[in-house]
Amino acid sequence: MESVKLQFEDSGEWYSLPEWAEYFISIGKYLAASPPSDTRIVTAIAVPTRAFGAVFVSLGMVISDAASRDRTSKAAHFERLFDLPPGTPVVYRPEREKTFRGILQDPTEYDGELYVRVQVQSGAGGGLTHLVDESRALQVQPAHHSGELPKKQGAENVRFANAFVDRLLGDVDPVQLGLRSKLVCALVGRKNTLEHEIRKTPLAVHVNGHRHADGVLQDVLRMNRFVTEKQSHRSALVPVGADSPSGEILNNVEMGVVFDGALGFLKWGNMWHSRHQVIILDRTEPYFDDAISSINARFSQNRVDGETVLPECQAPPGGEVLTFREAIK
Amino acid sequence: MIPLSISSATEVYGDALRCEIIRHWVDHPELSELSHSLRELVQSLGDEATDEYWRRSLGPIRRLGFTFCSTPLPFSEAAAVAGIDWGKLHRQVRLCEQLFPDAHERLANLAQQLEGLSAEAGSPFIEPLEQLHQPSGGLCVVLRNPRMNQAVAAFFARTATLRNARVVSPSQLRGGHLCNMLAAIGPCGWFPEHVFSAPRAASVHIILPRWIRDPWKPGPIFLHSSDTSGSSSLNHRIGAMPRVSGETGPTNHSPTDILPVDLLPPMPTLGRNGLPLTGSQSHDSAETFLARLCHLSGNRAVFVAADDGSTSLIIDTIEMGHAAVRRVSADELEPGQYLLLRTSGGGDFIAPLADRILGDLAETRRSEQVEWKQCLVSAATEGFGPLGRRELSALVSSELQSKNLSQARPANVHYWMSSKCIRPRKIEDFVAILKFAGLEERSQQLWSAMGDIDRAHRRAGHVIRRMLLHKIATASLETLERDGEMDFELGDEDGGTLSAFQIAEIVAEDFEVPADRIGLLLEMED
Repeated sequence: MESVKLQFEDSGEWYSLPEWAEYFISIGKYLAASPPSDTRIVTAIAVPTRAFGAVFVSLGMVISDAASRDRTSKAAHFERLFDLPPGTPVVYRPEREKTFRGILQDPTEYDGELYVRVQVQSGAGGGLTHLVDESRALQVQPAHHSGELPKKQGAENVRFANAFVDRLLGDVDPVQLGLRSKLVCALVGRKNTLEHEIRKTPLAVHVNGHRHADGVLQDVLRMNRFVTEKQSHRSALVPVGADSPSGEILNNVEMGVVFDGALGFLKWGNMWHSRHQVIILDRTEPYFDDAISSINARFSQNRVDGETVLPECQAPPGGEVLTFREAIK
Repeated sequence: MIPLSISSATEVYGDALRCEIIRHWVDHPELSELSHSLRELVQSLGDEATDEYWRRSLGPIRRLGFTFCSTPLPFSEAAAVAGIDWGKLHRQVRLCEQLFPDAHERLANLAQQLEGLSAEAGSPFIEPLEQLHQPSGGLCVVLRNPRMNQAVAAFFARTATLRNARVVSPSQLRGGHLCNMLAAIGPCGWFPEHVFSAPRAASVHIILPRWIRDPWKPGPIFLHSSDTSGSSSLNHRIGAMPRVSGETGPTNHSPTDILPVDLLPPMPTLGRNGLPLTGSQSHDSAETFLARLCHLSGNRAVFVAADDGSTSLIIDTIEMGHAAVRRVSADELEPGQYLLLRTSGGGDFIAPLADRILGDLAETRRSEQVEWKQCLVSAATEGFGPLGRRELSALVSSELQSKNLSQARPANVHYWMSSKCIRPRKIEDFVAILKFAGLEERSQQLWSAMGDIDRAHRRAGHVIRRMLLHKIATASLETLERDGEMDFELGDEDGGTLSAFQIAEIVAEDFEVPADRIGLLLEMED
């Protein structure tokens, strides 16, 4: 079995992520895994330093979101492909790091099983067409391209190939492919600090002990502030400043909001009424005590009964974690 | 400005995991007696202790007594740095004989005890520090009173047994792992809790007088319910916390023990010169601004403009790159940031440089700026009577709106009338107020003239910011972060000397303050 590990670089050497970082990732995953309910989960984490806490929680949310998509949506996606008219432009990724432009042809039944058909060569080139069954439905994704096919097509398509993302999110990721945007989570904090963590901290995926692919968290998080107009995004950065979060971000976050620090939480902690909240509080920051008071007030006034069980692992050293459910307003 | 990497964050978590907090109690019978006598006198005075006479008499005594209990300096040096005026104190003692004869003996004794201690060439904190200190370094010392940091650092540097020991501030203990060993002089209650709950050292030594109680220990901060599974809570977890060990000190505290708060000097207040205007004063015709009061490090304070559009220049050491030096509105100011002020020649550092940029044009342009404002205020006074600026602004605003000339709010008009404003943002508003002021025919010429000033101000702001960024990139900010203040010499051509002061607290309420007090550094009084 493959052992996939995220590693970070220090003075030219690569090391496995420390336990505290894994803890934050597990908090993000735990929120993603909680079943739908008429309550939301508020998780407050007080730590000796805020560094990387919020971005790793966001990473956990995004990884879990991708995994849940893989589990639940193959059949629905297959049916959707069936309904698309012949000639619809798609991309087809039969395996990691191999991507073809294609167009859909009429579906077909073979040996009692249904297939969609993806043509990847022009008629002049031979018209090579692949049959894709339900189990591989996510390998075919609708795309924005002209629909014109070359006579012959190489599979090394840099635009669509990112081994780092593939290893962390699965083989076919619509956001990475630039096919559609979504907001799994919003991250509220200082833009420059978060940008450093998200875009300028080298990471690598190690598979069975070997360094396999390099990347940065932005490859996976796809923060809206750091993508180009042509790229799609998966999460939103809300800088703590004078401007309130936009209506689009308030309305479209699917899973939860991560507050990186007391200030953003004190300003906008009452927004996003229906989404989970994770609040990372640095014990050294100026408004720490105010934020603790605010969380304790919410715990005593708003808490509703319902199972909220933290991940089994121990809280990080110097850390304290509280989780509870609030009724969705 | 240097963000934590994953490695340095791991070191911080490592410190929290391994850290041991060790208390060392020190004795000094005379200082203990002074502390108790002082507390007894303050308690016996009750509310009277805040009266003018007692503030002036007890303020210096409390400040110096606190200095002796919190500073690892020979008492004689500490007294010199504290700068107590003995002549003044003796006069206050003599005055006490007439004003408060019952308290005279106690006050006279206190002054005598304090004077005796001030002649001592030692301090009970020095020996424990010498024992902790390793010649290779790695010992940092944090003090409650940042005004003593420089003197203590200088003392360490010239003392063979303490050379290489560093003085640090609680602000510096917010970054990455800082030192092998941290010594805090005084009880935990004198420091922000993070010094102990989020330590930046593998061990923290608390060196404190035996007669002060120090009950602090790590504990939960979140409320939580009792949902448990076995021994652990299902919805509440606490990670490994620093361990408190070492000498536990007095096991049975007596009612005569002193609490950390008892020895703190009184909260400084603004002197008469710094006080904002009262309600009745603000109605006169003096030019006033809405201002926010920022308490700064070292018992100082400053009013910053809080009107619409007003900004202050700050250094934000949490931020990186260009964001480290930026202009922010009063609403965006935060404790911990460093406010840049000009401490000589008035608080404004942009206008003098802008005038230099304008060169020969400066005099003409400034007189034109004064002229249209005077005409505006005169027209308003003629039209509505000799009212305060706020009332005049409201009436002018209403007049302009009724004539459909401008939709400007009273606050905008008030700002336009002030000497700080160069011109409104929109030319339509400028034409409207000049029409009101009787200068309509010159509106294009004045708009263009004010444009010259506006550009010069922008250029001046840009020059100062660029120079500061350069200074910050090339100089160590240790002094700034340690002492909470630092001077930046930009050169006479580029704005002279600017001083940065750390914001300790921002008062929630806004005040009406005369324009000449905005940006002016105010010394707080005991």
